[in-house]
Amino acid sequence: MVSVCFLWSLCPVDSLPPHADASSIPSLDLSKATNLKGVAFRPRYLGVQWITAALHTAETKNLQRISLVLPLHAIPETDLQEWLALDCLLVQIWTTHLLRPKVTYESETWRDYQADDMATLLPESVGRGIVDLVEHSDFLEQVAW
Amino acid sequence: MSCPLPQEILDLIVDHLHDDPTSLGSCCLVSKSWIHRTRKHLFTNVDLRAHDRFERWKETFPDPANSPAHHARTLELTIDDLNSTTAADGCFISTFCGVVYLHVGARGPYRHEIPLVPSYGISPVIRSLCVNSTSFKLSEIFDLICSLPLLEDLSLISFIHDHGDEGWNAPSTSPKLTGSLKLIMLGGIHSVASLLLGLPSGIHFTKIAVSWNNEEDAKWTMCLVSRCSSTLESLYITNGICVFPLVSVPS
Repeated sequence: MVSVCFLWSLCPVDSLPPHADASSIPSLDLSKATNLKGVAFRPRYLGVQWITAALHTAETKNLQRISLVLPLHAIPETDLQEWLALDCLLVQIWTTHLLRPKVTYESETWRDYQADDMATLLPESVGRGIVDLVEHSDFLEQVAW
Repeated sequence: MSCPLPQEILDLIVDHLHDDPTSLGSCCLVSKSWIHRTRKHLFTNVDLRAHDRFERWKETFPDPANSPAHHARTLELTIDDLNSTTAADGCFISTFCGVVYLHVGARGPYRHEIPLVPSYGISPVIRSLCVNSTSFKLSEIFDLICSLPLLEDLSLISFIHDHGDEGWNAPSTSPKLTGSLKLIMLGGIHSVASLLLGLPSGIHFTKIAVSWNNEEDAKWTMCLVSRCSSTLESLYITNGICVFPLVSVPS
């Protein structure tokens, strides 16, 4: 079973570095890592296009965990399409491999807020009920560290 | 007339108290025959990071030959430049000959280079190494890595923006590095990654966790992933300094 975990950062917006250019990130090719069982990404300042691209290259039949850690700050409008593309891929992975995503929240305080955000960013995954919110403390175990 | 219990039975009793340091401390005072076993548990994890801990250790156990250091399996050490921790302390540090997990940090002025030499030869059986490399030369860190034939897990953290392009000649052998790699490098992972890729025995990590802090880090991560493609089972990438647990002390 694959777990997709989202963890919101509590980093205040003011302390964030200038928005980096995600398009300059080289594609992360995971196709040769045939034993890969778990991946975790924390896209704090970049969009998620690079994550979607990396997951596309992964040998998903062996994957057991996919974890995402989301920033708490507002997602720029321009990044929304990237999230929807990732949402589509997660649904596809779930459909073909029954890999159930999970969402990790940092603390009880943010749970409702993050749940609302999650529904915006991953509408299809949330609509189908394939993502679960789990607490931050579980996250590290899920990514096998 | 008392009938002393066999030592094996006494040891077994003490073993049941392995997670109760207060009781172990009391047992240590019962008789000489109890000391060895209680020390084995009392000194399994030794933390010498706090200020003056190392000096107090030397005062408490002035004769390295009779110190309980050989019981330690986990050692957390801060090399303190302000107190002139030098190679002369090596004789004390080298008594930690059974350590399998070593965490080395440094205490000194920012960007002041501190020699890592005192930690050389600390234990031939170290399997997990965590270094806060902010104050150490990368060449010395990699000399240390290559001196540990059984090393599996490697964690490096640095909060300076560049380590410079110092030269380092790789030795003829290096550990196989079959465990986890964790890199949190504020200045980017390029220096460390290039040295790792040049190790003579290669890298065979099953887990890689990398904090990206510039666009070059993605490229170097790709190189590390590619080199470990046949063994890699878990990959964790975060962009921006953070968050995965650097230290995972083995139980």
